Amino acid sequence: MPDAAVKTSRFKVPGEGSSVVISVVTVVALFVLWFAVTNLGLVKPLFLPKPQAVWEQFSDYLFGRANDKPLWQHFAASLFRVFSAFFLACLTAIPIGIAMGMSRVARGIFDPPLEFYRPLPPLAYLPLIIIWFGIDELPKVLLIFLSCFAPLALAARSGMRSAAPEQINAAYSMGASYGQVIRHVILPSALPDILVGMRIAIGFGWTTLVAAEMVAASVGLGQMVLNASNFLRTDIVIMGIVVIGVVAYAFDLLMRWVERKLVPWKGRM
Amino acid sequence: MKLQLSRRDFSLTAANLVAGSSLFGLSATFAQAQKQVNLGTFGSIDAQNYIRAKGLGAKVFGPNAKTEFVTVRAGSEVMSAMAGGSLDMCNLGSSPLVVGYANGVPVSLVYIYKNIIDSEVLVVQNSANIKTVAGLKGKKLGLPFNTSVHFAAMAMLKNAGLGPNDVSLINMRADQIASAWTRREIDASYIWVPVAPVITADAGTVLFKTGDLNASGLVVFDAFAVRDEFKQKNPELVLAFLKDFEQIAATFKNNPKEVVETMTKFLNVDEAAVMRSLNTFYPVPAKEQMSARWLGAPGTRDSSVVKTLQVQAEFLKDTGQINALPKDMNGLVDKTFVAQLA
Repeated sequence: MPDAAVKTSRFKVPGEGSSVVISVVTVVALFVLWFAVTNLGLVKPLFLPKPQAVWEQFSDYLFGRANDKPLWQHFAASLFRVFSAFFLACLTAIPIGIAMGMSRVARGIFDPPLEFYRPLPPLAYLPLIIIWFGIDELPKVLLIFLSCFAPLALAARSGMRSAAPEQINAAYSMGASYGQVIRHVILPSALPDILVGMRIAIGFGWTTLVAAEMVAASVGLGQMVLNASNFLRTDIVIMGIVVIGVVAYAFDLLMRWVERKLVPWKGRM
Repeated sequence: MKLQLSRRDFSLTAANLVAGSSLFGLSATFAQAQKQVNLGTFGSIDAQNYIRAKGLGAKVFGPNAKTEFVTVRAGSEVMSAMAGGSLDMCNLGSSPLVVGYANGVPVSLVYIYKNIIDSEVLVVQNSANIKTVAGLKGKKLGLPFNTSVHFAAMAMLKNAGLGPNDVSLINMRADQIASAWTRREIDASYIWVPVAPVITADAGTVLFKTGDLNASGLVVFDAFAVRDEFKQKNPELVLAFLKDFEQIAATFKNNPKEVVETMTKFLNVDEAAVMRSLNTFYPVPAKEQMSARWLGAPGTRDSSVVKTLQVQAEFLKDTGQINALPKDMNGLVDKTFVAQLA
């Protein structure tokens, strides 16, 4: 990449420029604030423990000194649940979303159930999932799968509409077949939307993790947080939240990188 | 009709809305000048829920106090809610109370709510072929963590020579237990009424009662806890509740017919369910609570209750569920209210 592009105009595109420095300053400021209010004793540790206490829990869990399973076991269990659900959702929701965009029959079939269950809070249908599928891994993965499925299918569906009629007609007029139009015009223009859908879906997946691990889990990050909250262990709760947040953020950065590599034409059609 | 607002109309409407809502906010603060009691209930057949069913709030706390009922599902929820100041009084198992106290939640135990004898039991699946408590080895035991049943189960296992890793303990909420039980996914459950009778009727057998722990010197009870700030500001409201509680407890035992009539309608459950709850309810009269077997007379220390709490705290410390033992368990118990009642 060339060094900062030479400015030839004083006009700005809204929102241009890098925000990295500002983000770093924000994070540091929040951390300093946390450190200050807890170490000055302004907040009781029951409500907000010191960063040192959270760090101590983290290292105890990391090296298996805590009176619980070590952190990597919780981490591995949760990662398996979230990613297997996400993977299954990608395998099913993207084709269904594409089909909904391409065919009125598919749209007619899938639209009502999808739109019906999409706004339901997972905790509302949790009892049903337990009665139908028991308390093993299946209901946990299924719950996360359901929360990933809807945003992914909707993103794929709306992506199918993002090719301009001019582009489609241009392809037709140059003799493209229906299949070629879909393969070479519509799908590439839908891909950016699908990738955004995947980012949103994995976010929903992490959000549902705690609800999923309310189902009789003995291992998992969500279960660890829930159990700690039963015992008023705010330090472990915050540690677990930070771990989930960092993992989810790291994955999102990875997805953004994939997006730049895979669909460089995003926003430039 | 199409609603068309000019920009001026829009600002006016918005201004009115804002003014209106702030007025509403004012009236809300005004109402709070009146005293408010946030009374916790487990939403089943307990005295607080009976007060709610009969609409007796004003009668118990007087006309100047507004009663707000807060439904909780487990003792740990009671502690979080009290720590956040959104709950003033509630009953809960001694184990979550100790956890709360050890973590610095400002609460006091003011009264023994009930003696737990057969309202919390170990139920095993008939198909699991478990004949004794020791037979639980390697089986799946579902129960809600950090509750009185969790503590009772651990004590029971210890007495039977089993360590916490010999049995696969699964943390489940009471409502999940019934469905997991029907699907035969757990071999046993240590749980309270009303779930226990339901799963016993569904091919289960009661193998152990919490009252059986008395033989090893452990008393498991439900405590009545009050948030310290509320207790200091409104001692008369605490006393008022306890006075009425003693009467309601007597009604529960002596005039179950009236209670059954009220609660079946209010909770939409059948008569048998209410009777089961009433039959397993053992209140301890204030006079008896003054003896060393319970809270002890004012000025005395280390009564049975304090000793039991201490044992629970040590147990919780051993299993890593609390960081440190509270310095003085006597500080959790406030006997002044019982002394005034007796």
